[in-house]
Amino acid sequence: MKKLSISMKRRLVQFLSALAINLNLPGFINGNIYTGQLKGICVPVLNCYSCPGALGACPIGALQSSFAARGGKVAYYVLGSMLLFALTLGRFFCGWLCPFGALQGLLHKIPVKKAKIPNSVDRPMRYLKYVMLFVMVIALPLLVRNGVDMSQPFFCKWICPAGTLEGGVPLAIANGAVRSALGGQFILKLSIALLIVTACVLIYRAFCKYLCPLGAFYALFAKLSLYRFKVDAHACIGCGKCAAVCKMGVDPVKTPNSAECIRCGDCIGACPVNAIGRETPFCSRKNTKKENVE
Amino acid sequence: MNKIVLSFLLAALLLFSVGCGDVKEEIPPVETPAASETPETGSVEEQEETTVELPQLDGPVFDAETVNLDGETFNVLGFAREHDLTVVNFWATWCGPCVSEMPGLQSLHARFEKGEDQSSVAILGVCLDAENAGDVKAVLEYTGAAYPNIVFAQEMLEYVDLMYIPATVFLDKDGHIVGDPVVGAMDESLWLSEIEKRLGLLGLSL
Repeated sequence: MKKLSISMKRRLVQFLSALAINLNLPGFINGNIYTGQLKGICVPVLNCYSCPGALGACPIGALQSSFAARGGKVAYYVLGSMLLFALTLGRFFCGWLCPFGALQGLLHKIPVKKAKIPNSVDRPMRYLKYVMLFVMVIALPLLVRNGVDMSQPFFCKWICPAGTLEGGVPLAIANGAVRSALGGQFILKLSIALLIVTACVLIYRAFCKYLCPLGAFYALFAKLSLYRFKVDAHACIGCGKCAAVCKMGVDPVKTPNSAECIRCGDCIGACPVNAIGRETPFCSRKNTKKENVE
Repeated sequence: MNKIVLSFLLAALLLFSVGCGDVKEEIPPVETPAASETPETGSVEEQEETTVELPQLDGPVFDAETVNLDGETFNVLGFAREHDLTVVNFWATWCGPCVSEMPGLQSLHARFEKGEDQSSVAILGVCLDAENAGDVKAVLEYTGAAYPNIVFAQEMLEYVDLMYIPATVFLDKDGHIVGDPVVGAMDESLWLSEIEKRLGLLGLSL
């Protein structure tokens, strides 16, 4: 087999992952969602439970659902899954397996003039995703209770564009009953989704960078994750090609395990001296020197 | 550093295994923007065609035997026969939108109970998780829902697809399903217009 470039490999993996996670294909035609046993398992990516194809549950949705339920339960299983994902491959899931991330990548391929966001705007905006995580996903569903001690999955209900595009829209197209239930809320969420889609055409992975609560959760553990990048300080010639090629705005030489890094590997491909390596506690690739620049 | 990682990993595994016991409970359907759905539309459309003219409905008769929330035997068909139109509302205690529309249904019930309307209309709740008795009691108290409420029975799935709730079907005097089911939560005025629409299909009015 011919050797594929890392971005080709990634595209292939993204496609296969999107398919594997959403293999209930008849659902798209029948307008039904899969409700079998697998649905009890959390997937490591932001893939809507209500996507007709979805075989598993979105951890962000599942977490909110448990918080919002009567009595405000904490789904330890969901939290444990998320922590496990965060500590093993972390944001590799964002870069390689998340279907909504893949969609954003494709949107950015649309050849229009791209927006340049100045650092002074970009950097503070990156913290918005933590606000999403701690306010929309955790605090509001836990604290805003009605008279029977129930809440709402605030992020799913009011923001999530993945839910609108993967769940709401396909179901509304294929299912008359869902269509009949659409109202102002749907219009609002569709507008938000279209706004984010537009942003993603202009800015690479705008949703991942600024809004995704699952990416934010993984980002919190970026420094601890078992899967890491390492720059060989002796091999590095300081050419800056890695930082220039990074679409997430990371400088791998300074912060190879930045919270913003989605492990796409573009920097590895761009390095002229193979100074950037990937490593886990079990093996490390390319990089032989122990020195770790962090 | 490695110790920190290891301890977090252990924590993750611990949480994971603690939670694994009751996976089913932990993950109720996540709400979508279009938070609801119901039956195959095919049969529904057929019905609509047949009801353009007159009250002649030849769909299935909603005939289900169950118990009410107090455990007394309850026959849906028998209940439907006492009214021109029966609004059968499927709900569950964990379903936020279901609970949110129940006060509206109660105020309609209060109106219909007075018997001042031309047609007799009844509201009937069907609870999908009556086994959670404490939750049911809390929801009924909170919403003030005093209309008859019964326990869901599997055989009802022959007449209604409950992939999404709240879902509501309308029965005529013979237990035939009238018009499309309503999917998703509604307020009192929307319910009134849906009820009038179904009565219209039967040649009746409020």
